[in-house]
Amino acid sequence: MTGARTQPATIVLTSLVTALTTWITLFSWKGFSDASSTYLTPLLLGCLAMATAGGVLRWFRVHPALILLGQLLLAGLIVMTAFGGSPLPTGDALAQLRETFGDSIAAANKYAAPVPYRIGSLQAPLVTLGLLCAIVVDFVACTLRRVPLSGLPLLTVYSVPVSLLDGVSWWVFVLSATGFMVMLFLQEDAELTRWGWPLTPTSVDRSGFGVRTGRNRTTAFKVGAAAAALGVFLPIVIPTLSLSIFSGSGTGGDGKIKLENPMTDLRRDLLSREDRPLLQVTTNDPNPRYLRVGVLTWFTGEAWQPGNRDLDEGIEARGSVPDPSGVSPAVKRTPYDYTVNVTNDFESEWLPIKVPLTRVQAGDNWRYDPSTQDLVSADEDASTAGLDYSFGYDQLEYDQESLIGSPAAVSGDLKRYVELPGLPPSVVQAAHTRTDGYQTKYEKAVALQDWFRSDFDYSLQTRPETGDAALTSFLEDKSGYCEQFAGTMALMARELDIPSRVALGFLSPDRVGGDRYEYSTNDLHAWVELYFPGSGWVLFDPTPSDRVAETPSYTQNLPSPSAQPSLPTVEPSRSEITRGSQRPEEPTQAATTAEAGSGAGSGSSIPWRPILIGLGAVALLLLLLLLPRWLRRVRSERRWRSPGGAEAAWAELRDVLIDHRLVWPDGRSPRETGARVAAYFAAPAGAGTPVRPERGVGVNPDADAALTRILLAVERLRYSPRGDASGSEELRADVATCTAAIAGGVTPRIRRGAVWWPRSVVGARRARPRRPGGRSGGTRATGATDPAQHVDQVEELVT
Amino acid sequence: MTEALSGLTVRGRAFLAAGLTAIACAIVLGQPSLTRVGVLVAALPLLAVALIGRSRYRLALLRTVTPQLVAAGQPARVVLELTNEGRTPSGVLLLEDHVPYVLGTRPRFVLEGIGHGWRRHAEYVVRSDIRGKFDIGPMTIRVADPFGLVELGRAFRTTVPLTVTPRTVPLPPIMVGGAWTGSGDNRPRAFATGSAEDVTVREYRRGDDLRRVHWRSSARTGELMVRREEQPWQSRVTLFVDNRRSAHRGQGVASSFETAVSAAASIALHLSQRGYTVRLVTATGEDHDPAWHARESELNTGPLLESLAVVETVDVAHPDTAWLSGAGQAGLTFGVFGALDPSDSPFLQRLGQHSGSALAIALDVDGWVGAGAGRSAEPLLTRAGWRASTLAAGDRIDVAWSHLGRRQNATAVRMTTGAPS
Repeated sequence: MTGARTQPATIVLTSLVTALTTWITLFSWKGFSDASSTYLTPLLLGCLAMATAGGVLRWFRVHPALILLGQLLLAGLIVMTAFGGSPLPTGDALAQLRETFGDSIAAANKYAAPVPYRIGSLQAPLVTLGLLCAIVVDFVACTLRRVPLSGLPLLTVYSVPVSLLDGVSWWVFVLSATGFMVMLFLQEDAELTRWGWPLTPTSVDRSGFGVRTGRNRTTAFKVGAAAAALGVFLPIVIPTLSLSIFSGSGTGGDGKIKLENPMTDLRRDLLSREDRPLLQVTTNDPNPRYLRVGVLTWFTGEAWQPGNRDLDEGIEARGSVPDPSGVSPAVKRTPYDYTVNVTNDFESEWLPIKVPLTRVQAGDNWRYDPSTQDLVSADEDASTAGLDYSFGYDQLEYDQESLIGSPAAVSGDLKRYVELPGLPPSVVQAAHTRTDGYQTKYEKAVALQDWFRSDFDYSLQTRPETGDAALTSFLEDKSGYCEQFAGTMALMARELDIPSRVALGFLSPDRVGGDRYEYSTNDLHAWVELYFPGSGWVLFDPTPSDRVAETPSYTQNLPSPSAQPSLPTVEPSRSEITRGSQRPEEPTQAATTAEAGSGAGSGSSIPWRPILIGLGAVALLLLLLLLPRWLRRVRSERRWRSPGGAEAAWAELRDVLIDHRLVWPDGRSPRETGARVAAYFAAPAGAGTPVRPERGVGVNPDADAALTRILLAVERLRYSPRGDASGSEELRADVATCTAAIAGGVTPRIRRGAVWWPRSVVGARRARPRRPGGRSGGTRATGATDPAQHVDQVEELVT
Repeated sequence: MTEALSGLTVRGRAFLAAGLTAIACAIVLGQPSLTRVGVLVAALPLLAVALIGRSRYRLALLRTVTPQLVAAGQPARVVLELTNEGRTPSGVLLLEDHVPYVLGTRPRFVLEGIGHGWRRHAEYVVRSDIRGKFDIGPMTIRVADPFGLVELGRAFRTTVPLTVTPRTVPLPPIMVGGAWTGSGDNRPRAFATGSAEDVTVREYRRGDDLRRVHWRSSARTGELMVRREEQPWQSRVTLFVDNRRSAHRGQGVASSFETAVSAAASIALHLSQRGYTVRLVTATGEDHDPAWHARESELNTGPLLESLAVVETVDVAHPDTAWLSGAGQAGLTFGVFGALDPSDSPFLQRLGQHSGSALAIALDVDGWVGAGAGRSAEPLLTRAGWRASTLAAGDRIDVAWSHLGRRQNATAVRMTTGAPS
């Protein structure tokens, strides 16, 4: 081993840990595709290859730049071989490489994550990026030995999915954090070893002084574990704490609500308890519910997506728009006008409208798509923030008879609204069992809606799953929020061959005066639109009544089917009650406003959760406060129960003294100790006790006598061959007398402290008197016979 | 705790700042996954601070240097004994003994997990090729956490002096003349200071007759004192070292001045060992300690070599002569000279006349800067009545010394043979 050269074990260990940390952090990319193993497994091998290459080159002390170059070359070789078909960058290989990358990138651009594997493999770009990350981390952490800096590339790797996906699971975080901290510790440990390494081995007795017990590792583990635990658990508290700062600001400019990836954004906006006004509407519509923002028409197998748009053919949003297709002229229409002012907080690429739209005035940037009946921004930069516009729509009054009688066939353009990837069997089965007894599609749809509304609970607490797993667990848990209800019902409708799509928007506004209404964050909602020939797209809302008080009128009071089906598992009574409760006719305007005003859609106005948490915290605090007192009492009781009453009394007396912050003279005879203790006695505390009462022998003769009895008992127990015969009860009474006398002699503050914070139980360490600092230790005798060796220095270092 | 907080390293501060920024960003952007990272990164330094700030320990250090007086090039042993009298410190202790770099590498130790009552010896050797007085210590301690986020500096305070004396060479015995020619204490001293007892008693030594114990003095001093009934003769030597900067050439260890000091030390040691009482005089006058004392020669060499260890060149044009006016200067005078010019003649003459016998080693200083030999001050000294020998660059001191002895013989021969002519 030549001096500063790092030991091979250290090199191997650091390289390995770095590679694994990078790989684990790359695990946060799991959500980019549903076939994550296609890139995570090669990346593990790739990371290890990079680490091996780096480690070997570092062992031979190659220049850092060359190490980096070597690693890059190796990575290029791997990528070329794997995706180009040849290790050498020949023309064919490059073309193939370009093609592979092009496909993947096109897929990634086209589809939101997770990109389904059958649509496009993201293997090539992700493996390449991952390898680059591994090289960067390895270079910074191992070659340059700047572990803290390597946190930056790791953070980048970690935060890419944070911003694109819905988050990263906590175990990825914990493992990455652990890896990073191990890297940090290893580097620091190597520094320590190098620091303590004598440059000339002969000059310093190496075995003489340095101690490496590995305790440092334990300490590191403790600190790291605590930090990681904080990192996992503290964020649960942080958002509520911090967002309450913003909640008062109302329409503040910060924290805009964005609707880009509508589904995830919707849930996030609903989860943030902050209720911010987003839209103000002036309308002559008495019941301005279901203001629609956008529509999702395409189910990828993982999630509902807006689907492809051809905006070039859209209609400019300046004036009247064509009639919605499929609505028969027989349907009665009532026109209403809306004027909308959007606040700056609401950024959306869709324009909130009501359907069916008849006319709209919103400026140049917006295009109307007749098939989806929504207005989409034509300009990438344009959004709804701060926009003022107006539109008109026709409220349709559907006739239940015609809905029930609508034809079943799906044709032409509508075929794309029944397209389905393979659904989990449980969903398919549920769709059919729930609707088995109904004849028409419309009745089936109403049955589904009622099933969701009666059997399910509304909750925003859902598992972070996607795709089939989310569907299955939603049906198992029977609990979810509007997006899951709408999404699942739309899927089931498609399974039943009913054209369906998911609409996003606002449920019901708050009335702010006259014909002015305000939509806020909490009003965001998702519902279903089903197509029935002759009636067009008809609104259904499967979200339970916790959130949505009433269903559309045309789905209520459905005339009993000619052949009343036997509902297989739904309890009939319950479903009856649910239906019964919704029997009242159209609610009045006042009722709607009251409902909106009181609950804002989230069920109850009292924030039970924070109150409960607060109460729990207060209770815990109280418990903690009572704990020392209780412990002291338990200890005392245990003592009195033990045999040898005199010793128990003696120990109890000692604790009482310590509780009252008095000094118990250790290592003295009982009599001497007793004399000291008696000097603390004062009259028992009462109403007229001065702050500093008189203390000493003779002030409280009762206590003096009691102390004498205790002393005698102790002495007899310790020194008399016959032992002590005093009864425990008498001694206990004597100790109580002494305690009262002692308590009478201290200030009220200390008296309270003795009760609530007994030092004999807590703070025992602090009760010990501090040793005076700067005490000089024993100076070794200096011999005159040995004049050269006479310097003895004892110093103390107190921190 | 506050101290530990201020002890955050750059890394620790960066972590804290980055963590807080990440938390703030995460709150604004609503990304709980980022909050985790922020909390982790911010918590690490804070936890480390809590850990380091909480630890209380008490270390005692005992340092022994053996010997405290070493000749240049000779090793001295430093023994450290460290005791932990407190609790187990929670961080890592990085110990570094601040040894002057000329003495060798600074010894560094890493301590972790030492428990109460832990005691350890460590030993290291220091060695210097340069004479001088060095302070060994103080020992500094850095308390660090396992991640290098917090670092507190502590230091013991005391140092131990180590004196490195000039290199000496054993000199052959030569006739220097003037033996027993000093002003011995055969006659009573003037009682300028103290009482008569101070002068006429000395401490009891083994073998002294108990009848000679002077009980009054013993009672006063607290240890046995005996009357002096005989006064030994002292042979006194005044050793003059010319430490004027103008007299020497060269820099540092390779300068002619170092050779002069080395020669002076060799002479002082040699004469002390032969029973002379030596005092050192430099161009700035007499050594701070009035050196005419009835000290044993072994005891005398210590302070003498210590003085020579720290003697430096000075910027004076002419040597101080005030010390010559003192009484009882007659005796042997040795001089170690560098370059001399005629203006020094009065001083040389006065010094030579003042003593019974004056001998000098004159350094041919130009040789030390490679300017060629030949301009020794020997003739000048001879003219002033000194017996002188030239020491050129690369010459051995003992050879020059023996030349000095031979020259005396030659002079004596010349005197005997030259008388008739």
